[in-house]
Amino acid sequence: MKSSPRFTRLLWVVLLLAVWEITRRLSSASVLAFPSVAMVAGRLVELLATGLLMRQVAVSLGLISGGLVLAALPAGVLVLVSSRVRWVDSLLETMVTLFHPLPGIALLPVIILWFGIGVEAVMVVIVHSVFWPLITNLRAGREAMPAVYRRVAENLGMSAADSFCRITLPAVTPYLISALRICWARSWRALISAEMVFGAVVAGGGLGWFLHSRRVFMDTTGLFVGLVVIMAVGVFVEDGVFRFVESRTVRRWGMNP
Amino acid sequence: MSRLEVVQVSRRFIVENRTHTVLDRVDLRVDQGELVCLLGRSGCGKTTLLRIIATLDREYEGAVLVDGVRATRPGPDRMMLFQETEQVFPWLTVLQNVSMPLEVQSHRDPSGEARRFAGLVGLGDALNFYPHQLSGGMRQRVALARALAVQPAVLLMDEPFAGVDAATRSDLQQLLLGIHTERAPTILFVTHQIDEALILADRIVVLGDNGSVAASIPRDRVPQTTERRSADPATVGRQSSSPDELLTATLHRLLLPSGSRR
Repeated sequence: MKSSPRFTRLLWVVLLLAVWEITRRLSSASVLAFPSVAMVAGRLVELLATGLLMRQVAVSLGLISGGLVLAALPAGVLVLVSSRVRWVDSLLETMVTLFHPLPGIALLPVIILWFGIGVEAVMVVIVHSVFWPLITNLRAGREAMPAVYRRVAENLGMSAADSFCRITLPAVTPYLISALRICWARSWRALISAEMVFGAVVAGGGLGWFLHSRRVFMDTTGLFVGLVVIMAVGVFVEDGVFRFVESRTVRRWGMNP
Repeated sequence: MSRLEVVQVSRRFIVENRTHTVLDRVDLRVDQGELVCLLGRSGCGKTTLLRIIATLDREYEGAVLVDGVRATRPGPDRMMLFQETEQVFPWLTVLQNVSMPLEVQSHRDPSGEARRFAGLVGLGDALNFYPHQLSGGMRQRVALARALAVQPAVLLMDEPFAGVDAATRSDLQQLLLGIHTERAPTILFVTHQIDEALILADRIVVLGDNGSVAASIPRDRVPQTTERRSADPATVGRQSSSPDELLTATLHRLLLPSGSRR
């Protein structure tokens, strides 16, 4: 039997939901702690209808996009400078080694002390979670670039700007995409955690805040809705954004990392 | 006046306080429309000389003249063709690869010109292919088209066919010969293979191990290559001293390590 991976995946999801539902029916636990699939689905529709949930998603994704831009610009510039200035390169390497293993959530107490509990604090958490993997991957991309690219650019007498836009940028695209993928995964986790800890500091709150508030209101069904939405957003970004961009670029070019 | 003139070029590297002379007062000319093969053993400085001509290496003594004018910076008038098939950019189609240098030079019609040169190397039907869809030999054709399209004063080829299988290499050599017969681009072709030099060259310049020019041998290319190709198996074993065999023997002798040369 031949079926598309998408279809197979859907079958597995249905199966997992069925297992949940059967367990629910066999279990004696209260629906307050362990709601049925139908209850979660119903609540999901309800919350989507009010627009509350989508607002939370939008807030969270907006924060991540902002953090990504805020981290990507200095990271790009630093890696560019470090390919010309040796001491910058060695400093960057040391800093990545030191700070990369630090989980954003571990920094929270310090961040709260220094930045309070506003948007700035959430941004610091996101920037921290994406800045280091971005630098590591961009440096790796630069190292992996075949030397002959640079020689062709030099031979053609290309200007620095031409050489960067026409050669360096596309050459590191596979690494850039895989860097953004790691950044996304890390920042998404960090953000949800930060939102849960900070509570509704950002106008609208975000998904983490939503989870937190469901717990406070003892809305277990809503809690599960929050978890489902977090998973759904993750799948959407992976399949809808990253795979799409890849199919238009590195896969078409045969440059899959 | 020659298209390319290399005048008394020397290149020394200092490694651990010892000076190594890679090129020693090399003189070389390539005339308009000439295909000169620079023949030498691996490590004799052939590539270094090409890099100096292209001004990718500036730490040399002597002078490089293009149309009588001293070359001081890299430029597409001395377009290089490298050995690596990666020189064709994977994110550009065949057409985009060939037109890219033309776009950089603000050519009037990069796409039309690129189409013409892609056709010239036999890639007219593969314009929208990406390099990963092409064989190594076809990628070198793309590189050749890209190099020819900028119409360099002299095309510098650094063992461009060394990375492909023997049959493909032979195809590429015939392609280059055909283009050369038809359009007569000025070419300096570096190789370490005697047979390649014999097939391609109007003139063979032998670079010795000591980094100086050991010989410059003009050739009457066409009749001799046909003779080689149509050699009757019955006569191969016979002792003969055709000019080609004498030349091959001479070249072999010139390419021997300097210590063992008689």
